[in-house]
Amino acid sequence: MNQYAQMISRVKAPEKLIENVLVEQREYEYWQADKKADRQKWGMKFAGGVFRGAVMACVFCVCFVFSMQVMAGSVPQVYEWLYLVSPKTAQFFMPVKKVSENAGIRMEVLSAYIHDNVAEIYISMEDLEGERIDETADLYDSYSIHQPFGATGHCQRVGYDEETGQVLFLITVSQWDDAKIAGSKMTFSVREFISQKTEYEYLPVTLDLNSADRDAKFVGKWINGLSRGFDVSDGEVQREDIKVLPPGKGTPVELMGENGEEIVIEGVEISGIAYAEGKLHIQKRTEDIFANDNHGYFWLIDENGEVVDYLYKASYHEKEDGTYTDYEEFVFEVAEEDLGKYTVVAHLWITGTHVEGPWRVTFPLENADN
Amino acid sequence: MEPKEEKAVWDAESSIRKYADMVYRLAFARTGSRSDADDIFQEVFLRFLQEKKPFESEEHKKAWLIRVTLNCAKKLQASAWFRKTESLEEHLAYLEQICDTPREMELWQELEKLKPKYRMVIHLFYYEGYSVEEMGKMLRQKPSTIRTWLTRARGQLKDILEQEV
Repeated sequence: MNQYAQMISRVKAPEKLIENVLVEQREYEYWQADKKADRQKWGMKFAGGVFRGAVMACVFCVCFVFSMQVMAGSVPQVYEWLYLVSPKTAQFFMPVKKVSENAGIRMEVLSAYIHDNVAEIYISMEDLEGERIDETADLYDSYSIHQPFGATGHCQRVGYDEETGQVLFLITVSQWDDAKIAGSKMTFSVREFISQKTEYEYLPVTLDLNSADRDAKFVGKWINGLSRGFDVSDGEVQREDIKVLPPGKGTPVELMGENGEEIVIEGVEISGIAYAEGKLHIQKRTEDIFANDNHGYFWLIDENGEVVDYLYKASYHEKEDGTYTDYEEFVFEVAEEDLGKYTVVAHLWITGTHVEGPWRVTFPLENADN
Repeated sequence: MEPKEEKAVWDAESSIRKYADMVYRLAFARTGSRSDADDIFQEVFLRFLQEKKPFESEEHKKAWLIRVTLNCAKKLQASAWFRKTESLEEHLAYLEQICDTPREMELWQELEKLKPKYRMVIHLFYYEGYSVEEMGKMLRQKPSTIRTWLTRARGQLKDILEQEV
């Protein structure tokens, strides 16, 4: 075995990482299995697609009754599910069942479990009026946790049931002072969420690079994000030296789908394309960036399918009409005479729904020993 | 839970345990950072578990995991400002764990100066034992490109490699 192999073989995946992945997977599997069993229990034996169609046809009352039945059965479900994941944890799981409804969205605290100096709280969210929540639901850092003791907390999505449209979040709060968790109250609130995210993976962008402006005026901006290309070493690109295309409206990004269809991405625009000093600049503009999380990357591919990575990507924000617009500029080092040989390829993540609450639930934290 | 579903979970677990070190080493070799390798590891295996992709063979599964690991590393690098950081002290302490001699430490530090794609081919060639042609297929590059990367990587490692990588 050579020297490199000897060295790298001493690098091992930490056991905790492996366990984390396995636990997350088990939670997902059991959540899915539990929901399937629950649907049979309540006699909902028709296909999920048909049921969803019915919801879309505005059979609102059916949707509502079904939701209530599922929620009524949800605490035992969580028990059973937790028993499968961790029987020890399930023994001490405390049902809560506190609800907040707003904008047709129901948020329910299902259960809370306190052990040592940690509180684990399971919260479900579902759309009572439509299908605004799916498996991509993201609280988008808009949640807050208030408790009367010093603690750090975080929230993660741990499951989704496509048949009921319920998404499950786990809040974990770790206490860092000597105050008692048990017997106190906690308030969990969510200001907004985003959902129905779509990923467009490596699709060609309809863009003629020969149309690049050769006389563009570049400006200095406060660059709040700078990412160097894979082949660029530190120091090769300096934030303070970067000049970018000025802000301004553009045209929506147009992608070519896998079957040649045109896909127009609303909310993400190409707002500038210029060529100067041996570099191609492509500017992407995203309106109201803090409300949608639309983001993505551009690359070039040449006639042989070889990927040309950007030299760097620089971004800045502008306040426009009371919201923040994000500008990202992708800069490629290519010869001017070769511009026609390249195609721009995009990888984009686009948010379909943004729902504003708030939803707020206050609930007691009881130790199972009591 | 049905016995069949239970088996699927356990099969997935055995695959994770089998390939955990391979994925982690490749991610670490590509990024040079344990915190990045942690993130990549989790993303790769969650995709592996949730996509439930049917594989033709173990070799197919291994190649898929390598490909996804490299893609995740590329994606992570593209969002560099979101990355967690590791202190220099932590990093050096870890290197001391994996390098037995000052010469190994010197080799590792030289490897860290290489471009990520060069580190990647060094790892796949010298550790995983893939040929230039196999790497070409896996990385969707021409064999001549892979050969060029390997040659440049070796060139940059200069005299350290003259003895042995």
